[in-house]
Amino acid sequence: MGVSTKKQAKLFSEIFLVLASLVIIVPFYFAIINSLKTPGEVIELSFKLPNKLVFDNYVKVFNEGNVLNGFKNSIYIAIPSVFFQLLIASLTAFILQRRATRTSTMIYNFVVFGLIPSGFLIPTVLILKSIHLLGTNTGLLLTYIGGGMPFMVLLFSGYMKNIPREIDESAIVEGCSLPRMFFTVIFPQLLPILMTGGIICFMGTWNDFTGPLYYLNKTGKYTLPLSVYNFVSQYGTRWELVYADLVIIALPVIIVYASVQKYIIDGMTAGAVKG
Amino acid sequence: MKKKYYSYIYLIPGIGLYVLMFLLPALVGICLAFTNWTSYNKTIDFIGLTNFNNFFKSVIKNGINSREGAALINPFIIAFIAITIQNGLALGLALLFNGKHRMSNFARSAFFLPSTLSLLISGYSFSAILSSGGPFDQLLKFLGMDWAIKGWLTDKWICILTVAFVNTWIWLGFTAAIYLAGLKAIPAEMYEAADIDGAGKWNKFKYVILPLLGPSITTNVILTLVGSMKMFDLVYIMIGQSFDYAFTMNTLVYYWKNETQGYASAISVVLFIIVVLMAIPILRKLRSREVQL
Repeated sequence: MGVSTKKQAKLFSEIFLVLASLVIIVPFYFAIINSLKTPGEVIELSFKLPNKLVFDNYVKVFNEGNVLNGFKNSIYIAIPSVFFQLLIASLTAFILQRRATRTSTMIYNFVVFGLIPSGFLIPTVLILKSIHLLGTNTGLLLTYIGGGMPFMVLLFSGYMKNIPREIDESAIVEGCSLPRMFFTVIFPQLLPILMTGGIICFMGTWNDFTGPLYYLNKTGKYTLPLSVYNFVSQYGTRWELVYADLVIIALPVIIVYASVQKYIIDGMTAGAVKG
Repeated sequence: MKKKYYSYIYLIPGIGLYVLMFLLPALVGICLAFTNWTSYNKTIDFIGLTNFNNFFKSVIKNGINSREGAALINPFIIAFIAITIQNGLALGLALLFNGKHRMSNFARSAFFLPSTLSLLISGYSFSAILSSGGPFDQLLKFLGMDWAIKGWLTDKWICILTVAFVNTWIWLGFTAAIYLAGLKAIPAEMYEAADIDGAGKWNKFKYVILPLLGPSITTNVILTLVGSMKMFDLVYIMIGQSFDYAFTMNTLVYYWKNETQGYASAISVVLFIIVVLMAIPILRKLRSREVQL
């Protein structure tokens, strides 16, 4: 291939990448512009820019959609979900990885198997009901921690293989108890993967739609994603408010994504490839 | 000493919650599948395979026109598109990203974005764009392709293909990122050796890249297969539950969740068996083909 054709091919790839990227984000552009239109204008459902920017929709969403309450519920679930998943899964992965016996390998496989099948949601409802946690944020939180185990354990134990055992041993010689050794010696070593796991867990919890739909039954407990149902109905969907609400739901994730995307992409794929 | 130190006691919170939220529901679900538990019955009785019989009877009798038939067929359609088109496009993208292009990082972030956001935003945007007489139909009209206009979210077969397409759009960047990670793991010496042997672009792809990409292919095929079979949110958001031919296994479970819980549990069991039976042989087959570096 001559130099000029090679250059041309490269230029073509560059242009293709830019155009394809723009096509990919078109639906988000659609949501944003339509969240800024008047009800009369939005009914056309078009890509046209708004005649006048109507920020009032966002105010309306906060007032009518109980968005503040949804936001609070989502935060109250997402933060403990991240905290407990990281803590519990890293400890579980650590014990299983360090023991490396036949039994511990079996337990590991049993946990990771959980990635494959789909959940049994109705029995879970029944179990939550029997321990009086159905419809509570605590109940929903438990389903996230238990359900998150397979991926988190997979992610952490892959990383732990690279932390030398000698580190543990020197702490053991000094008479350090396991919890103390784990939290003072191992935990700091895990920082990059904890970051990745934490972000994945945050996004998963924040965006989850199915869990709240099954396990929460009072509107007062609804997390943010369900707030969209304040504006969607058989009798007419108020699209301008739906899109304003969706932008509000997406905003925290976009901020997280924009600031730490390297961790997200590298981490999600690292865990998946090693599996 | 070693075993005593890394005591199983520390597994209690993690394994305990996993058992409570995964194993126990599965066991309870399997038991419930053989009962006639409904919200109207006062007692719950063991009824053997009746639930399963009823399910497969509807499938056989009415095919895609029954909720059950649709629920069984549609996830396979979504999975087929995800495994072929999504994986093919993603591999192509990953090869492009792997080239030294100035726009690679930007494009990679843009493509990955949809998989990080709530499915609601993608679902509702596409619902509007593809609605009858909406922007997409107008575009077709503008191009003089009126004949191609379909009920994207309402027609039989078409509506599921639409969901499969949106599903591909959402996860394309994620799948590509996994392939890219696999490509980056291929040592440069491999390409050099191929160059020395005088391999062309296609041969390099066929004999060097593809075999060494084994683990990424395994991961992506399994992830897309399992994700498609479990499909719930996107169908629920985009089509809802108004058409019998647009059900998937998990939207059908949701449909019956407040009335006939025994029957719904049987559907969950069928799905569980299908997913495990499909995933495990594929996993074995793909694993055995992987080349170890």
